[in-house]
Amino acid sequence: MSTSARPAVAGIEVVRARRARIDLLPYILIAPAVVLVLIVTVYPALYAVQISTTNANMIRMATMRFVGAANYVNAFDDEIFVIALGQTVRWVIVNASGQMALALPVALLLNSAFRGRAAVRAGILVPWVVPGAVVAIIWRYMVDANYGVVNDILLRLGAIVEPIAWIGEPLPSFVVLSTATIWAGFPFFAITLLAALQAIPEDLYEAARIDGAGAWQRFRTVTLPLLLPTILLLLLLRMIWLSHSIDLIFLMTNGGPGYNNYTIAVYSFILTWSQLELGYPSAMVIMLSAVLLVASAFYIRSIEQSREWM
Amino acid sequence: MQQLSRRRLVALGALGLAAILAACGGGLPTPTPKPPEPSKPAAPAPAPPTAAPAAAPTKPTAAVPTEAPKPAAPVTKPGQTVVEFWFWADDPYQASLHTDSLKKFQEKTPSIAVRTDLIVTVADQRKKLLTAFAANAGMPDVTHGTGGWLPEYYDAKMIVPLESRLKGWKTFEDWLPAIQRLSKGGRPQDQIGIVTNQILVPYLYYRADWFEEAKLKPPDTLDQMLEVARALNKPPDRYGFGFRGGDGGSLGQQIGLYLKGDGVEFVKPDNSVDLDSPEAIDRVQWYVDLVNKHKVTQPSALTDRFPELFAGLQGGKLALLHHGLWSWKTQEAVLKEKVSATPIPSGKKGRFASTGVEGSILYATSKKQDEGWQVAAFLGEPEQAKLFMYERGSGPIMKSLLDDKIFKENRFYKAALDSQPGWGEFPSWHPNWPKMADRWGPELQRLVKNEVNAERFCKNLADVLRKG
Repeated sequence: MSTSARPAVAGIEVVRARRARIDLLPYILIAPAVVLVLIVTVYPALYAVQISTTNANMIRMATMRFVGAANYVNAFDDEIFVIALGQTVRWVIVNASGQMALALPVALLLNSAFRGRAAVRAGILVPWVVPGAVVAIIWRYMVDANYGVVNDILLRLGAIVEPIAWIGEPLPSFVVLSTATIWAGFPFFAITLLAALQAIPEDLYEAARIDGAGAWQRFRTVTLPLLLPTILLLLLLRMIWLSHSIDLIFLMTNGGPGYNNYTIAVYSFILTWSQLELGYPSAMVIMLSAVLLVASAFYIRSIEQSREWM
Repeated sequence: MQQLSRRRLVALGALGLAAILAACGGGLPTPTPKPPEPSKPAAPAPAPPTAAPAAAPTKPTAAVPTEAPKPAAPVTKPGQTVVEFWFWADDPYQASLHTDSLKKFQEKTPSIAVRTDLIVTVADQRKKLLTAFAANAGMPDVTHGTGGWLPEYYDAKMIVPLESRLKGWKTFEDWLPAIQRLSKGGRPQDQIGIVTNQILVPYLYYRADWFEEAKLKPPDTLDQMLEVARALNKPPDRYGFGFRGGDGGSLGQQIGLYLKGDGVEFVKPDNSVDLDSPEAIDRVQWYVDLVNKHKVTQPSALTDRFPELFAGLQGGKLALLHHGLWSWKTQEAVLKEKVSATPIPSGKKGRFASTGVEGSILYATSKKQDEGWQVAAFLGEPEQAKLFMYERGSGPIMKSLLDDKIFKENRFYKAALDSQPGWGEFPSWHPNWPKMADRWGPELQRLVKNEVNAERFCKNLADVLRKG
């Protein structure tokens, strides 16, 4: 019995030894980071969900009560929320695609050899490093109806007969805001694309040249496919940032004229900032986050597919 | 990777835990630092800052502030009680009115040290206060504040009713009856909650030189105001009327005053709302016609707030501009005799000038309310009130100040005092008023852009007042 039982006992010992030697070190090493993330990200997010089911207002926290899904349901009866929802989509699509449309040719230019390239590469970052508040002030005064340089130039050129209140009109105000946002945001795209361009092996271009491919064909068949994952990732990041950006919109236009430049982020900020509301704005941003999460999941899947396609 | 034995894992875990605890501040006690050396006496005060008015028509008899404020913790002496005091100011000179007064207080009352915190704007201070109160941390003992805050603060149980203290304070008997009423914050059932030391009175600035040139008289009624705005309107060089469309400021300083002048109460004593009454719709239409029909407003009317409007008046672009006595020095410093002021033009039922009181508020969270009261009372004494009256541009708050020569000799003070029968307040005590005021700006912009008509504008805002 003892001899026949020996292999079985040995097997149990191996299992025990394995159990005794659990590789916990990686878990211990990442534990501080996990704790930190739980404290600064997960807990506030869960708290925001909890707040969104109440009528919380900073002035009346003592009388805060549970309202269930009322904030979520009522949002769709709120004319301003519905306006802001549509304008969030417009804001994100126009600005993300605008930044990409400007950044790609700039990145291609910066990737080519010319005199003073280093200086231009450094200079291109200037709009990106200027703080949002400063960008807003610069652009607001450039397009000011009374003293702005844009109106002054157009008047001198005879292009207009009287000053235009750029940020006092629905469409021009959106154009000005988008121009300022594209100007301030495109360098990040351009520099990231430049890094991706420099990672493309020169051999591929050489092979294409040998095969008789012209510049456009080389761009279409070599550059663009290899840049695509970077482009898609950049667009995803930018769409997320833009969907909750408020600085330029708020500082340049207060979301106006009327509600013409309200986005969900701006509307929730205005409610929190001026009326000290917490419940309803939390519900709005949670809905926005949910939409972004779902959109991001689909988007990441398409990025993966683009990699498989390559 | 090398695998660990359970013993080593436990040891490592303990080490990691110790490291986390150490990082969180659980270290060994450090030696108590030496107390700082007593501060040296302050250097001689520099000359008044340039923002100080050079063109004041009469010299103030009250002490003139001497330096820009340096909000900082005072060096406290043993036995001294520290009182936290928050305030805001439009500029460094106005801030010095508070800090210099508090210096005088400390000289007079060495047992109390006042630690000041200068906050940039009135709105920022309100939010900081409410946030501190909600967080139950960092509340001051006393702040400068406005009467308009009182209903909200009473409801939140933030502040201390002051009538029992005021009754034992001799200066209170000198308060004008209107000040006693305004210091309740708009709800008659509330107690006085502010030791008022200033009253802000709005009026209408006009370019006196252009009026003289065109042989026009300052407008007394809204119809006359439209006439002179049309007469002086010469676009693109200058415009008849400074329209405030960039924020909700038109509610308190333009159309809101006209509506009240027409008898629209916004919220009636029986709590019904009349903002969508035919009278209100008519006046709102008249107001928006200034932009769209008569075209007497500046091109940037829809986005201008008070800084742009000030630039317009001072830069020779605007003939008429609503603001108030508290900015007379700013305008006069630039335009000298070219600028003057007249009371708010009257509407169909009379004249209305929304007055707001400012002063010191005591907080229920304070454990030093007696000391806080001493600070508040000192800032409300006639000497300080006179200082604010001359240097900030406040109206009179005391009977003894009513006959001050400045109200006869200075055209701006005269205009403010001439509107006294029309002094009043908006029903900002109404719980939905802040929401309505917040919607005012964007709704007005929609109205000007014809996205809504006057009727819809009034209905939207009346509904906010009714339903929140």
